[in-house]
Amino acid sequence: MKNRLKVLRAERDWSQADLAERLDVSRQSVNAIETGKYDPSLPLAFRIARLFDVTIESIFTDER
Amino acid sequence: MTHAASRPTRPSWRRYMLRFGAAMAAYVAVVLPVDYLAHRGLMPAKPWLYLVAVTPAIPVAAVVLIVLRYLQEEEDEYQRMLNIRAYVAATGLTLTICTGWGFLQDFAGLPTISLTYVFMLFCVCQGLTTGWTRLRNR
Repeated sequence: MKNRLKVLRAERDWSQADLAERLDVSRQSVNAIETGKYDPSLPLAFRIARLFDVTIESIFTDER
Repeated sequence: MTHAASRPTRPSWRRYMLRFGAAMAAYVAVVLPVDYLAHRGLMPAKPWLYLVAVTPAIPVAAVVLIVLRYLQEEEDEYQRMLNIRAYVAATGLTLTICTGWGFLQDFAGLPTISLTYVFMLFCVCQGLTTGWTRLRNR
Protein backbone atom coordinates (compact mmCIF):
# COMPACT_ATOMS: atom_id res chain seq x y z
CA MET A 1 0.00 0.00 0.00
CA LYS A 2 1.32 3.45 -0.93
CA ASN A 3 0.93 6.47 1.33
CA ARG A 4 1.48 10.23 1.47
CA LEU A 5 2.63 10.27 5.07
CA LYS A 6 6.07 11.66 4.29
CA VAL A 7 4.56 14.50 2.21
CA LEU A 8 2.01 15.39 4.90
CA ARG A 9 4.73 15.32 7.54
CA ALA A 10 7.07 17.47 5.44
CA GLU A 11 4.27 20.04 4.86
CA ARG A 12 4.16 20.55 8.61
CA ASP A 13 7.93 20.48 8.93
CA TRP A 14 7.76 17.58 11.38
CA SER A 15 10.52 15.04 11.83
CA GLN A 16 9.68 11.33 12.07
CA ALA A 17 10.23 11.62 15.82
CA ASP A 18 7.76 14.56 16.00
CA LEU A 19 5.10 12.56 14.18
CA ALA A 20 5.82 9.47 16.28
CA GLU A 21 5.36 11.53 19.43
CA ARG A 22 2.02 12.87 18.20
CA LEU A 23 0.81 9.38 17.29
CA ASP A 24 2.22 7.81 20.47
CA VAL A 25 4.19 5.21 18.52
CA SER A 26 7.93 4.63 18.04
CA ARG A 27 9.95 6.49 15.40
CA GLN A 28 10.69 3.11 13.82
CA SER A 29 6.93 2.63 13.29
CA VAL A 30 6.65 5.93 11.42
CA ASN A 31 9.67 5.07 9.30
CA ALA A 32 8.28 1.60 8.50
CA ILE A 33 4.90 3.05 7.46
CA GLU A 34 6.46 5.82 5.35
CA THR A 35 8.73 3.44 3.51
CA GLY A 36 5.89 0.97 2.88
CA LYS A 37 7.50 -1.75 4.96
CA TYR A 38 4.49 -1.86 7.25
CA ASP A 39 0.79 -1.16 6.69
CA PRO A 40 -0.82 0.24 9.84
CA SER A 41 -3.90 -1.28 11.43
CA LEU A 42 -7.23 0.45 10.89
CA PRO A 43 -7.20 2.12 14.35
CA LEU A 44 -3.72 3.56 13.72
CA ALA A 45 -4.70 4.64 10.20
CA PHE A 46 -7.68 6.51 11.73
CA ARG A 47 -5.37 8.16 14.27
CA ILE A 48 -3.06 9.30 11.46
CA ALA A 49 -5.99 10.63 9.41
CA ARG A 50 -7.42 12.49 12.40
CA LEU A 51 -4.03 14.04 13.19
CA PHE A 52 -3.71 15.44 9.66
CA ASP A 53 -7.45 16.19 9.48
CA VAL A 54 -7.91 14.28 6.23
CA THR A 55 -9.58 11.02 5.20
CA ILE A 56 -7.75 7.68 5.33
CA GLU A 57 -8.16 7.28 1.56
CA SER A 58 -6.36 10.55 0.94
CA ILE A 59 -3.31 9.23 2.80
CA PHE A 60 -3.30 5.55 1.86
CA THR A 61 -3.89 4.20 -1.63
CA ASP A 62 -4.33 0.56 -2.52
CA GLU A 63 -1.60 0.41 -5.17
CA ARG A 64 1.86 -1.09 -5.18
CA MET B 1 1.63 13.27 28.64
CA THR B 2 4.16 10.59 27.75
CA HIS B 3 4.86 9.61 24.19
CA ALA B 4 6.40 6.43 22.80
CA ALA B 5 8.97 8.32 20.71
CA SER B 6 10.24 10.52 23.53
CA ARG B 7 10.63 7.69 26.06
CA PRO B 8 13.89 5.76 26.04
CA THR B 9 11.95 2.50 26.53
CA ARG B 10 8.24 1.82 26.27
CA PRO B 11 6.51 0.96 29.58
CA SER B 12 5.38 -2.42 28.22
CA TRP B 13 8.97 -3.32 27.28
CA ARG B 14 10.28 -2.11 30.65
CA ARG B 15 7.68 -4.24 32.45
CA TYR B 16 8.58 -7.21 30.25
CA MET B 17 12.30 -6.87 31.01
CA LEU B 18 11.60 -6.61 34.76
CA ARG B 19 9.35 -9.69 34.73
CA PHE B 20 11.76 -11.61 32.50
CA GLY B 21 14.65 -10.72 34.82
CA ALA B 22 12.63 -11.86 37.85
CA ALA B 23 11.76 -15.18 36.14
CA MET B 24 15.40 -15.77 35.22
CA ALA B 25 16.49 -14.97 38.78
CA ALA B 26 13.86 -17.44 40.04
CA TYR B 27 15.17 -20.05 37.57
CA VAL B 28 18.73 -19.68 38.89
CA ALA B 29 17.48 -19.61 42.49
CA VAL B 30 15.67 -22.94 41.94
CA VAL B 31 18.04 -24.77 39.61
CA LEU B 32 21.16 -24.28 41.76
CA PRO B 33 19.80 -25.88 44.97
CA VAL B 34 18.15 -28.72 42.97
CA ASP B 35 21.44 -29.35 41.16
CA TYR B 36 23.27 -29.28 44.52
CA LEU B 37 20.88 -31.83 46.04
CA ALA B 38 20.98 -34.08 42.97
CA HIS B 39 24.77 -34.18 42.76
CA ARG B 40 25.14 -35.02 46.45
CA GLY B 41 22.49 -37.72 46.47
CA LEU B 42 20.28 -35.69 48.78
CA MET B 43 17.12 -35.74 46.67
CA PRO B 44 13.98 -36.90 48.49
CA ALA B 45 12.33 -40.25 47.79
CA LYS B 46 9.55 -40.70 45.22
CA PRO B 47 7.05 -39.19 44.72
CA TRP B 48 8.65 -35.99 46.13
CA LEU B 49 11.65 -36.63 43.90
CA TYR B 50 9.53 -35.86 40.81
CA LEU B 51 8.19 -32.66 42.30
CA VAL B 52 11.63 -31.34 43.34
CA ALA B 53 13.24 -32.39 40.04
CA VAL B 54 10.65 -30.62 37.90
CA THR B 55 10.59 -27.39 39.97
CA PRO B 56 13.09 -25.51 37.71
CA ALA B 57 10.58 -25.87 34.86
CA ILE B 58 8.12 -23.58 36.69
CA PRO B 59 10.10 -20.35 35.98
CA VAL B 60 10.44 -21.55 32.36
CA ALA B 61 6.65 -21.75 32.10
CA ALA B 62 6.54 -18.29 33.70
CA VAL B 63 8.78 -16.92 30.94
CA VAL B 64 6.33 -18.18 28.29
CA LEU B 65 3.44 -16.48 30.13
CA ILE B 66 5.50 -13.29 30.52
CA VAL B 67 6.16 -13.21 26.76
CA LEU B 68 2.45 -13.72 26.01
CA ARG B 69 1.52 -10.97 28.46
CA TYR B 70 4.05 -8.58 26.93
CA LEU B 71 2.60 -9.20 23.46
CA GLN B 72 -0.85 -8.30 24.84
CA GLU B 73 0.42 -5.17 26.57
CA GLU B 74 2.68 -3.76 23.84
CA GLU B 75 1.12 -0.43 22.80
CA ASP B 76 3.11 -0.04 19.60
CA GLU B 77 1.69 -2.43 16.98
CA TYR B 78 4.79 -2.32 14.76
CA GLN B 79 7.09 -3.16 17.67
CA ARG B 80 4.67 -5.95 18.63
CA MET B 81 4.91 -7.39 15.12
CA LEU B 82 8.72 -7.19 15.18
CA ASN B 83 8.88 -8.97 18.52
CA ILE B 84 6.46 -11.69 17.40
CA ARG B 85 8.72 -12.25 14.39
CA ALA B 86 11.76 -12.43 16.67
CA TYR B 87 10.06 -14.98 18.97
CA VAL B 88 8.92 -17.13 16.04
CA ALA B 89 12.41 -17.00 14.53
CA ALA B 90 13.97 -17.92 17.91
CA THR B 91 11.53 -20.83 18.31
CA GLY B 92 12.33 -22.06 14.79
CA LEU B 93 16.06 -21.72 15.35
CA THR B 94 15.85 -23.64 18.63
CA LEU B 95 13.74 -26.40 17.02
CA THR B 96 16.14 -26.67 14.10
CA ILE B 97 19.25 -26.84 16.29
CA CYS B 98 17.69 -29.38 18.69
CA THR B 99 16.32 -31.59 15.91
CA GLY B 100 19.59 -31.34 13.99
CA TRP B 101 21.54 -32.31 17.12
CA GLY B 102 19.12 -35.19 17.71
CA PHE B 103 19.83 -36.60 14.26
CA LEU B 104 23.57 -36.14 14.80
CA GLN B 105 23.24 -38.08 18.07
CA ASP B 106 21.24 -40.89 16.43
CA PHE B 107 23.12 -41.23 13.16
CA ALA B 108 26.58 -39.79 13.74
CA GLY B 109 27.32 -40.78 17.32
CA LEU B 110 27.55 -37.27 18.75
CA PRO B 111 27.25 -37.05 22.56
CA THR B 112 23.84 -36.80 24.24
CA ILE B 113 23.09 -33.38 25.67
CA SER B 114 20.54 -32.88 28.48
CA LEU B 115 17.21 -31.41 27.37
CA THR B 116 17.46 -28.95 30.25
CA TYR B 117 19.77 -26.86 28.02
CA VAL B 118 16.96 -26.24 25.50
CA PHE B 119 15.62 -23.31 27.53
CA MET B 120 19.04 -21.65 27.68
CA LEU B 121 19.45 -22.25 23.95
CA PHE B 122 16.07 -20.61 23.32
CA CYS B 123 17.09 -17.59 25.44
CA VAL B 124 20.30 -17.21 23.40
CA CYS B 125 18.35 -17.58 20.11
CA GLN B 126 15.79 -15.04 21.30
CA GLY B 127 18.55 -12.58 22.19
CA LEU B 128 20.08 -13.03 18.74
CA THR B 129 16.82 -12.72 16.77
CA THR B 130 15.63 -9.72 18.81
CA GLY B 131 19.01 -8.01 18.33
CA TRP B 132 18.98 -8.79 14.61
CA THR B 133 15.40 -7.46 14.25
CA ARG B 134 16.29 -4.24 16.07
CA LEU B 135 19.43 -3.72 14.01
CA ARG B 136 17.43 -4.07 10.79
CA ASN B 137 14.70 -1.69 11.92
CA ARG B 138 16.53 1.18 13.56
